[in-house]
Amino acid sequence: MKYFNSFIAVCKKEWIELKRYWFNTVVGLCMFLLMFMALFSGAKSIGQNNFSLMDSLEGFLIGYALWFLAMGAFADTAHAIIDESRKGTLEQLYMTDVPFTWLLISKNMISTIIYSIIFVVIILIQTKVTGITLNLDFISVFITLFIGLFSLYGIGLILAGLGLIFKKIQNLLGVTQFILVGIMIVSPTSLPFVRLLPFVEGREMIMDIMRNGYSLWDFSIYNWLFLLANSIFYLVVGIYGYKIAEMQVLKRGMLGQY
Amino acid sequence: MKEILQISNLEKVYSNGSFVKKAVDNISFSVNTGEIFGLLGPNGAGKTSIIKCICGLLDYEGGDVLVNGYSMKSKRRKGLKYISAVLEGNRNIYWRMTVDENLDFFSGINGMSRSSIKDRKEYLLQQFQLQEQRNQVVNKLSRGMKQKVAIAISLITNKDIVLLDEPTLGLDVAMSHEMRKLLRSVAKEEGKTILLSTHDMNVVEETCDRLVIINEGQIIAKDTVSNLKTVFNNDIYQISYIGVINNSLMSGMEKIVVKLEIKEGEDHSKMIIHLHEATELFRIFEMIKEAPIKLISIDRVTKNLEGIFLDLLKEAGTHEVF
Repeated sequence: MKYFNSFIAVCKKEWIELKRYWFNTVVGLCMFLLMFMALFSGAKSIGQNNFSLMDSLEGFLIGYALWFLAMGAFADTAHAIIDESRKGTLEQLYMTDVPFTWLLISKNMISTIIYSIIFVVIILIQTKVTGITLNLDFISVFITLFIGLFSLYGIGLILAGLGLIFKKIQNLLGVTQFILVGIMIVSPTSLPFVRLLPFVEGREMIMDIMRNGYSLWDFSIYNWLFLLANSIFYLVVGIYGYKIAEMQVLKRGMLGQY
Repeated sequence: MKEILQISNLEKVYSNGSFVKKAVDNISFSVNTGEIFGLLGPNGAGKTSIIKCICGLLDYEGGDVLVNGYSMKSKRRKGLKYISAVLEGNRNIYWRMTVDENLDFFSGINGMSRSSIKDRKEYLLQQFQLQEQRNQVVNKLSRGMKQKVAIAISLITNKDIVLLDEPTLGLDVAMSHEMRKLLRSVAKEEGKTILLSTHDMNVVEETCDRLVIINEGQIIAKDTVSNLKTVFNNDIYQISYIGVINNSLMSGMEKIVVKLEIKEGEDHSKMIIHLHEATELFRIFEMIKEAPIKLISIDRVTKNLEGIFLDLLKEAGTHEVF
């Protein structure tokens, strides 16, 4: 019950902040869609006589929306911790009856739900505007996203740990966004090891659902286990990396400093 | 009375490359249940480091902190069940959330449901006179109000020990006075154990039962506030006179007194004498009677905690106090 109550508290706080900063969210969304329209128009004009590119526009649409989602997911964890440290509230979160890791996981779960809703809105607008038809099986997409995004939260935790120690990591966050673009583009068919990278398996499965009309049952147990293992691996690595940073921070008394 | 908080031989060392600083040096004290205990010391004395070690927010190299018997080194989570804290002024609040939302959030993340804290929240809002501000965003409140909210948040979970780091820092005189009154009533009515760190002597003098005075990471005094005042006020007298003290009177008095200070004025002068015991005053009288000076008055000097604190720091060799 203690864990449930703390989950509800985190949930309410996220909702309050979303309501209070709705303008920022809406502007971010509009900018994202405008950029998509510009990129999509460019890609379409180039691909008018190029059958294969026209064929991959669906992939471009989904990939772009997933990139937005993934960017939010990993940066959200890092920003959240650094922001709490800056405000001075991080120390309070470390003093609660439930472990801080649980509060963080709660926040990630809520963020996933919020990002999934935004993802649905983006996809719906994109399909309307472009006229591209996709398989909109949102339940299958949500479940895959829910599992897959935890690998990115793991990366976010490592960045948060670095943020606690070095305080200013904006440049690193910027670079990571470009690395993420790479992760979203590179195909595991040509480079099989790419599947080991965070979220790549999830991305491939979502592509299959939306582009090829797959449902949850069409994936093999191997796919699910690989997705789960990938997420757990990066989350554990992330937690471990964060704990190492945390040990340093607790030793130096830097938890509340920014 | 039960010792709910025990700090024994606590040591904290900060190091960064070749820079090594012992911020807390072999500190030991204990706090009883229901007591208001003060950590008094100048800036940089190590107060915040001690508070953070007690909260489990800072690892320590030596000694231990026991909260209700649980070591904050090995059983941190169990110890935290008894502790809430307001650190560094009022930074434990979300400034963009309302007072109500803050109280709900902090009770929630401590595992409490909204219904279970309903009555306590109303009680605290009333006690801290925050009913009118309950739906206001904290950012819009005055500094004093924010501090009240911060303390109310630390009490919402109803934990036994409340740690307050500089609770009156930056408050105006009226608000500081109100805060002291509030702390006393919280300790008395709710039976909370309060450990507060401050460099404000008035706060300690008016609220604390016992205190430790810390300087450069070490304890330089540890006692009840009243004892400390009694001990340090032992037999200090101010003698006002007209005339000049000659050498024979001076050397005679120097053989009796512990300390002698002379402040010469235009119309009359003053000497402050510290005696081993009050009876020595009679011998001083005899000497003054023989000397070519006219006695105006003799007054017993009572020092407030600030005077005692400054004397102790002077003895410890600290020149920079604030």
